[in-house]
Amino acid sequence: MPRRVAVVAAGTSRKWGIFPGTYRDLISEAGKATFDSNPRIKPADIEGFILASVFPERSVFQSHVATLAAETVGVKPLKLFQRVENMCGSGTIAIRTAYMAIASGLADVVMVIGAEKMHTPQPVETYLSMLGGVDREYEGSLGVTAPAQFALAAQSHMQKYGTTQEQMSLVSVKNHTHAANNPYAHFPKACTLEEVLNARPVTTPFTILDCSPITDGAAGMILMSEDKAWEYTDKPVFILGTGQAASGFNYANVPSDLGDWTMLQKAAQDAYRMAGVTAEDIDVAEVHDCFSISEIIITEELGFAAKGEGGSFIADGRSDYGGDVVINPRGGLLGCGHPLGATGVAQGVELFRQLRGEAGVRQVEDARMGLGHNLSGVSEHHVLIYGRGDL
Amino acid sequence: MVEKLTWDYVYGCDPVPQQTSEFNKLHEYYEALNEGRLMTTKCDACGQVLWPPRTVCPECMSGRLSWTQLPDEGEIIVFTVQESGAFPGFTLPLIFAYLQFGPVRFIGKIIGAEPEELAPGKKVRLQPEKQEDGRILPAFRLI
Ligand SMILES: [Zn+2]
Repeated sequence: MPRRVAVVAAGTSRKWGIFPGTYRDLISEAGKATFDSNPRIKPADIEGFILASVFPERSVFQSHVATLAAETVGVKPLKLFQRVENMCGSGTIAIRTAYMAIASGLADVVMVIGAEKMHTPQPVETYLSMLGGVDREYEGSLGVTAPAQFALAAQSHMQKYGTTQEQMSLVSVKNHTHAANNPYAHFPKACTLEEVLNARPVTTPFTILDCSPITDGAAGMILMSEDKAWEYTDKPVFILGTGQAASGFNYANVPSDLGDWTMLQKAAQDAYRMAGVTAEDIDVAEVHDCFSISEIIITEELGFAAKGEGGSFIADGRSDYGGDVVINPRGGLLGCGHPLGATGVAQGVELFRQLRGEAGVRQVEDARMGLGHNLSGVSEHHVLIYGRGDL
Repeated sequence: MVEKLTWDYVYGCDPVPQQTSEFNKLHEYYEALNEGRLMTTKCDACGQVLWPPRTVCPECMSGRLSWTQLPDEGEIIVFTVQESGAFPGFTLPLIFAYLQFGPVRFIGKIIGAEPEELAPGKKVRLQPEKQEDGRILPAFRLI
């Protein structure tokens, strides 16, 4: 039997956006916030360390970043240390890897940090780096980056299911409204439907407000085996289930209906089965709204909405406070920004706070079970289900 | 003698792939583009037509692959018109379409078309784009 694994500490860097400091400074801030969230834990208690970071080689000219980060936060990892890189989903994969290490008995206490410094003195460099996040040889070299890929998925979903641009924009309205209650969000400001629709066009059907911004940010989390966890906190949050699935990399080899994310369906089913729950049991979810269409498709594949009805699900308010499930209470990637490696960890930080009743004005009433979803492409998905310790 | 690095060309900052036999086992793909033909690999053992081209078949692990020409006409499945957010050197708007070419699908760049001329189902054909340094990349135009 795998051992049960709990989250016992979690925090983010103070203000996401353009970070006025180095990569090391950013990691320091997330590390301090994580330790400050549970003063009983000291760096010397940490046995394993995992860093999620996507392209520090390009953005800060530094590889070999896991030990750099461990040293920066005062951790001497005597049992395991590694970096995780799988593009936008790296943060959730890092948490999942920590889960595996603890569940298997390899370590009792593992720290995860996700950090990305995306802004450089010459901002367009980031676009070049993002070309490497798709198939650079056959897609990136043509100028294709994530916005075009997800716009094609949006076009496919609109064509097949009749999803409208207004419905997509409502995702952005909801998540920006949520972000207004989140002090670390890159864009903590509500916006209206008209503002989204009339914003600068990026790639049809997206305006700039349908796209998650380029953001510096970091987040951290400490996970422990169940026995240890109760020694360090009265309110551990348990990882109850997880799933992950991928079917292709180049768009030639993903499901041909680009709006049908069958790999997410598979990853979610595995996570639900492992946790012994269904979509109806989830009170709060942090999902990967890299673009507004993504949240619509995600709500369908996670089973919150019927397939093809993700558009009306958002329009009817079913993913907001008072609805079926509160989706992206921290403001999502659209409102918080998307510092690649940090995003999945920050989603976990929010769920940790929500399930402990510590989310302040963002608190989802009586949140008992939460779901985190990160993706690395339309056909690569990572899911974690978290539950309150008293369940 | 001290070796010099040519700072105005660093491959780590070059989005265009290496296309010669010195650096690319699939250089024939680019040589065919230069002759106006869209080629990919077909597995001699299991018959699978693969995209992108390969040196080993991922379906059956055979190392025996042959070049095969894709049909002259492809079809737009969906498309998007990108107006911002491109790396310098790419001229906006950029039009990208998910294309069906015989048995394979991929994202292609559409050139020489106004956005309002495009629609799912419209037919396209290859029109490769020569880069300034002589390398070549695929692009497509409406028929
Ligand atoms: Zn084969």
